[in-house]
Formats: sequence, structure tokens, C-alpha cells
Amino acid sequence: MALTSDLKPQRKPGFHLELLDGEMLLLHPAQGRVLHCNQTATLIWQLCDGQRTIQEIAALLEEAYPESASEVMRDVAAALEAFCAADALTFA
Amino acid sequence: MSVHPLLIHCTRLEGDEAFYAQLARLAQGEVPWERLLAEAKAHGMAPLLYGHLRSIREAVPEAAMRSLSGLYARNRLANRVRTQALARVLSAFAQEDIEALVLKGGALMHFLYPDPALRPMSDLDLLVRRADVPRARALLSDLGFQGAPPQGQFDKSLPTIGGYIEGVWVGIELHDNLFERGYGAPCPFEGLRPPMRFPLGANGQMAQTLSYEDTLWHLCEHLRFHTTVFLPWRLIWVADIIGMVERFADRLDWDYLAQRRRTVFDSLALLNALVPLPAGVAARLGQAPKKIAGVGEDFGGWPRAALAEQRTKGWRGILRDTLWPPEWWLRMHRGVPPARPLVGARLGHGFEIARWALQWAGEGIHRATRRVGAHCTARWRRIRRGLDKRP
Repeated sequence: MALTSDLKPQRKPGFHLELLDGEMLLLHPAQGRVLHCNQTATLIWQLCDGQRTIQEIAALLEEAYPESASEVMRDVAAALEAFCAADALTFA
Repeated sequence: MSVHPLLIHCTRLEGDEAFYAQLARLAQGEVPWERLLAEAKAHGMAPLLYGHLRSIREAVPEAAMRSLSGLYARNRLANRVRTQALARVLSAFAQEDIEALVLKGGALMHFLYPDPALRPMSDLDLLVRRADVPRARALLSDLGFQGAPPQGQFDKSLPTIGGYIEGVWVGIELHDNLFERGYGAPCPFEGLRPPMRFPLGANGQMAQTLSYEDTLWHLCEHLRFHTTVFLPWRLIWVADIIGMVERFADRLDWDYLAQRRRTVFDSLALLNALVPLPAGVAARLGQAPKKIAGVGEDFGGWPRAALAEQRTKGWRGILRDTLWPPEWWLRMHRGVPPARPLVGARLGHGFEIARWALQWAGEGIHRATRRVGAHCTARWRRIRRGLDKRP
């Protein structure tokens, strides 16, 4: 599906974040899926609560990382696409 | 069909400087990493392999480390959830005066392994007294363990029950006997040495497992019993045994083992050929070192692999692999120590294959007869219907 900025992504149940050797891993133990996340992707995952739109998530990240504001939307899109590929999100 | 030496090297639970120097040498050689990872998964060794390789990270390809870190993290999460579930179950059992011993992985990950995440397992195994089984099952059911295991899991002993907790399958296998049906001698709760207590994770709750001696005996018999013509043996079972003798050599009552659990020495002598045991333990084996052929190799004939899968070997290759398996595997499978001749085991293996072949042929004939019978019945009915319709 095409990601538009007004969609509200929500984490699917059964996924866990595990910190290992300084890296964050998103796991679905029952389905055996593993996704290696960088710091930004981890934050995005935590912000996917079904309440915030993609635009709002990007705005929060721009606020947190003003020095890399220009790359935020690209990072958000990349992370959400990776989460979608792992079937980890639903959208409201 | 032999296991990669790097994986065998990693069966030790803890290593010193020399261990890691040797591991780095092995990793810098020509390692087929994809095959090694698949082998590590099949042998239940992925978390332990990761645990060792993270010390020599720079010698390992990034992609291999990423795959292994995912498997390790999954196992760490699963074992954390299993430990919490186990604590809940044991508390409930204690309130009802049901004594339970935690067997294999559920206990080993806490009292033997340096990090509980290193020991994968499919289920938690609990040994209870036969008289307590109905009450224990009812309690487990009350605690929400009611589901059947996911497809593909082999059911043994009493049926496994369980459920998903935080997305992790937590299966509990209740045993009223240390060994499964088919094992030579029964060994209920009452036939064991006084149990050993160990802390269940960091919350201070204590659990019970077999004594050191019975644990070692159980692990050796489990490895031998599961080295079959149908299923592959797993290196993680070897790691358990090596870990037991390396860590608890001074605490094990070797005289008791020599008098009551003699087969432990036979298994250790065979494992010594695969992973050299500490000198003090090897000296106790009392068996002259003997060169064993095919150390670490698995059985590769029929019925392990279907005949169609082995076509490329040709019929000579299939016959050789089926009737003349590697010496080390055969000794392990039939419990023949290195010092004893192998003639009887070779003959016994031939008879075993013949027995399975007869059973397989019998089942084939039975299926074919049923098919022919069903076909004839259907045809006869059609003829009858045709006859009945005639004026």
C-alpha cells in the first residue's frame, strides 16, 4: 500500500524490541521474524501507536533532531516500509 | 555429513585465551558461513555460536553475525518468558505439594550455562510423581496451559500442553518417568538420587532438578537414545554433557557413576573423540584411547532420507550409507564403547534396517491393498447399480 502522511501506523501485537550489543532488534518470536533497527527506526517504532499520523511522527523527529530535519521524512518512510515488509504495522 | 569443526569447537560453554585464539584461526579459514549457520540452527547451537563469536567479531562476516544475533535475541526473549512461566508453574505446584524436577534445558540454562540465552529448547520438561500427574495437569490447565503444540513438534511421553505468552510458545511436557516409552528401563521419580536446588533466574526463587550424577546420566542416555536412524543427533546435547563434566568434574560422585550409571563412561569415551574432555575426566574413563572412524559424522542412509532424495548416490551408495554407517555414529546409536568390537553392532544395525524395511513394505502393501479394495468395492457398487436399473 502507498504510505500517505495522514495514515496512523499502529504496531501489531507479538513484536518485541530487544537491545543486543548496542543494537535494537525487533522480534516476532512466534513467526521467527527479526528486524535490525537503528536508533531512528527504534524511535519510529515506538511512536507508531495508532494515534499519531506519519506527518506527526516526522514532526516529532524533526523536533528531536533539528540538524538532520531534511532527512527525517526519508528515514520515516524507509523505516515504515521496512516495518510493513515485516508485516509489523496496521494503519488507521 | 560431518559437522563443521568450528561448530564442534563451540560446544564448550566457556573458553579461555587459547580457546578464542583457536576459534579465530578457524573463523579466518575457509568457512562456508551460510552452511555453518544452517548447521548451527539444526543442531540448536546458534545462540552458543553467537556467544563465542561475539568475542572474535572482527573475524566473522557482518551478515553472519547479524543472522546469529537475531537468533540469539529471539532465544533470550523466549527463555526469559519461559523462566517467568516456569516460576509461576512451580509456585502453583508448591502450593499444592506437588514436587517437580525441572529437566534438561529448563534447568541447564540456569545452573550450567553462563548465560541462560545460550541454551535453546522447544519445551519445558517437568518430572513429577506418577500419582501427582492428574493434579499437575489440572493445575497447568488452570494456569492457561491448554493448547496443543504448534505443528511439527514431536509429541512424546505425556502430551505436551502449553500456550502463547507474549507471543512465545511455552510448552510444558510433564513426565512421570525420566525416559520415554521405548527406553529399556523405567526410571520414575523415586529411583533417583536426592535432587539438586538451583536459583531460577534473578528473582531468588529456587527450583529443583536431578542431582549432578543423574543429570549427567540422563543427558548421556538422552543423546544415545536420540541418535537414531530417523532423526539427527544434535550438538547442543553434546555441549550440555561437555559443560557438565568441565564445570562439575570435582563435584560429581564418580564412584557412584561407576557403580550405578556405568553407561556414562561409554558415552563420555565416545564424546572424548569428538571434543577432548579435561585430562582428569579422560583419565577416569579407563578405556584405552582408540582411533574411531567417522567421528562427528551422522547416519546418512535410509530411512533417514527417502530413497528418492538419495538417487544421486546410486544404489551402491544408498546401500553403503544405509547398512554401513559411520563407526562413531553406530557406537553412539548402539551404546558400544570404543574398546569393544563393533561386529555385533554392525549385525544389529543390519537387522534393525531389515526390520524397518519389512515394516515399511508391510505398510506399503497394506496401503496398496486398501486402495485396490476401495477401488473394487466402488466398481462393484457401480455394477450393482447398473444391474438394479435394468428392467
